[in-house]
Amino acid sequence: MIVQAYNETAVRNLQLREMADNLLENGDLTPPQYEQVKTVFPIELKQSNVFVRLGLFLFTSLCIGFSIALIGWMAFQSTSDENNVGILCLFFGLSLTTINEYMIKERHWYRQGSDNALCYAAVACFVWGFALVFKIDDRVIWTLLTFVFLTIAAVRYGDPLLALGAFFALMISVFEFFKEKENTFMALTLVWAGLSVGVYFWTKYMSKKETLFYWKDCFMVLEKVGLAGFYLSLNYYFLAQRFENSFAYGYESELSNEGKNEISMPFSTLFALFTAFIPLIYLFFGIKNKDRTLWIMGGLGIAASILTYRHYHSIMPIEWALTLAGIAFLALAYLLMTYLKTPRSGFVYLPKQNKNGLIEALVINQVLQQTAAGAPDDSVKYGGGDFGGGGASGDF
Amino acid sequence: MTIYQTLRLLFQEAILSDEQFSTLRQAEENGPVSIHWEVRIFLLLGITFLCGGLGTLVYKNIDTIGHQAIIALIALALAACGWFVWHARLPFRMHEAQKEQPLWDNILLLGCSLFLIFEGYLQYQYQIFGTSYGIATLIPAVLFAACAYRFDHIGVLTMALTAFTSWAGLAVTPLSIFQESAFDNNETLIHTGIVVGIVFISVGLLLQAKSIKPHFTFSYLSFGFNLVCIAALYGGANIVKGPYCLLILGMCALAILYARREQSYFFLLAGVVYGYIAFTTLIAQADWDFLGWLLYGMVSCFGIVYFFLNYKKFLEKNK
Repeated sequence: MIVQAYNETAVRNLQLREMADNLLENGDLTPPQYEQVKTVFPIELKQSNVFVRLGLFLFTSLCIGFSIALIGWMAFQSTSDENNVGILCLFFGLSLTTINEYMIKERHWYRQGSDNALCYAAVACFVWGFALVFKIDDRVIWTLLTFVFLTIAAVRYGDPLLALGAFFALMISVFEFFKEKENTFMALTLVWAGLSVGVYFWTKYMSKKETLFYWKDCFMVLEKVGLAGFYLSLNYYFLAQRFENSFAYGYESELSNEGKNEISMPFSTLFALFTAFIPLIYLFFGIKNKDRTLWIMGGLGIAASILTYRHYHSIMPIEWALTLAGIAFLALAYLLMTYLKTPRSGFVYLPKQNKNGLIEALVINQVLQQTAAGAPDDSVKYGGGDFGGGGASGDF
Repeated sequence: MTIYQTLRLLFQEAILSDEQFSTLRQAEENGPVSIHWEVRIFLLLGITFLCGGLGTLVYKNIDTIGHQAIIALIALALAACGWFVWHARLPFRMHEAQKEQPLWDNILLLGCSLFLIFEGYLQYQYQIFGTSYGIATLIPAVLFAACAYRFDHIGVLTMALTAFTSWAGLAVTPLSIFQESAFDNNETLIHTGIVVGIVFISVGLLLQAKSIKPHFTFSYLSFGFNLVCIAALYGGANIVKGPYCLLILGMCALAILYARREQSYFFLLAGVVYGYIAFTTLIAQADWDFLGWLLYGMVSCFGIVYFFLNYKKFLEKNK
């Protein structure tokens, strides 16, 4: 059996066409070349406009909800045995999956809104059904079950939301596992941080593999949440909150002799350092490796760290902080705009939207560096200027 | 699919020439990264933070700084914004201007926000408009509309539409109603919303027909359509169902026809969603039992899904 639900070649063509659109817009492909691309790599998947997809998702979800409610109501007017409900849930899961698979295969749906809704509903039905049939009360197993089903669905459909859900399910199940044990404050922190960083490096490794393009969006999402998870699991504020809460269980026995307020979090200095430096490390490697995800997460992390610091030591009133931050942002933007007008150390500021203008930037770069290569390649044909802005005007 | 993979596939299919492939690949590997979006976000954040911070600062230190100093300061900033924007202006065009620099757009936005603060401050401190709030709201509406057209800025146009809506709301409603907060049965306000919405839609369509800034049409139409539908839904839920719901259904029919004419997916979705809510509200007047509702929900949602799946046939019928 093929792992992927959607036709892999068709997905590849779709991804390729998106890139070709960009190339055309940048003038890196000539219109005749683009026409050639269209014939060699046809799009066979049915994918609608974003508003139509939104409508489809909304009304398919409603339709599924009403159908399940109707059948469930008719079936359980007299009895409500848990086992029967579970079996019915499994039945719903199976039928929804069957419909979904049929539509994907025969009608070539691809992230149409409807197939997303069918898939999410099916996962929910399966989890619920299994939990009821096998009488699962343990929250650890319950969340693990969710994780397993979400992972299976993510692998089959390549949907980034499913991957995101699987990540959260795993994190929550780890939390539930440690919650019941004693003295697990550090262990949970380490496992969360380790899992996040593991997910990050795993996805970085996997997304480099060319054959795995089907899961490109999953990797993109997991990369981001891996970074965010690593930072947040070591963030001082969240740790302190969790530490305070952990008095409710686990720590109580050890700390019974001392007052609550006198206990400080273990390794608090270390965690404060982590909070301060992890975003900076992200930022550093982001700029060094020209990794947009890394530097964006670094920027967000710095903002979060500043907020964390402010929570404990307020050095200035909020209005001054806002004013200064505003001035700093404007100054930074202005500096970047002027400084990077010409490409420097691999970065450039291009005023146009949506255009990478790779070639043009490269040409400028080469001229500036005065490489021995001499004049830029004339054989690269620039597309006419007719393909400029206004692309969105007809799509609403 | 990485960009490199794409290029290689295109090369393998002989779509890209040898040199083109190597140049593009080199550009991908060694070319500089554009930080366009980062700069834009910094600009927006900077303006938001600065306005918020200065506003709070003024509010908290009103006793020590003195009103005239603050007003002078804001006026100075306003003048600076105006000067910058005016000097960076592009020649007026009936169509969308090809702007190279996002900075001026943001400064215009800053200036418009500052103007609101400025006017509000003057009114609060010196009551320059007395109780004629109508004029106080009409001035920004006119000013913003002029700025939006001259400097080609959709965000400022939306601000103008908002200001105009509040002017209309104030003009028809005696202030006492606001003060008594008796919104619940205020039909005048609902009717104003409907009328203003229809005015926006008509103006938008008229300007589109005259092809004056046709890229603004969508803002007019979506603002107007949402205004009419929300006002009427509020009326339908709280006052009388029938007429308001019928009005929404009529508007939705028009929206869907417009969607068909203009290939507009937004109005297709908005028309269907508002129409569905209105229709459901309308038939809810009859006494349905639980089973009936479930059946209705199932069948109606299925119908809409079917419609959306075949929207292409519907949209392209006219072609």
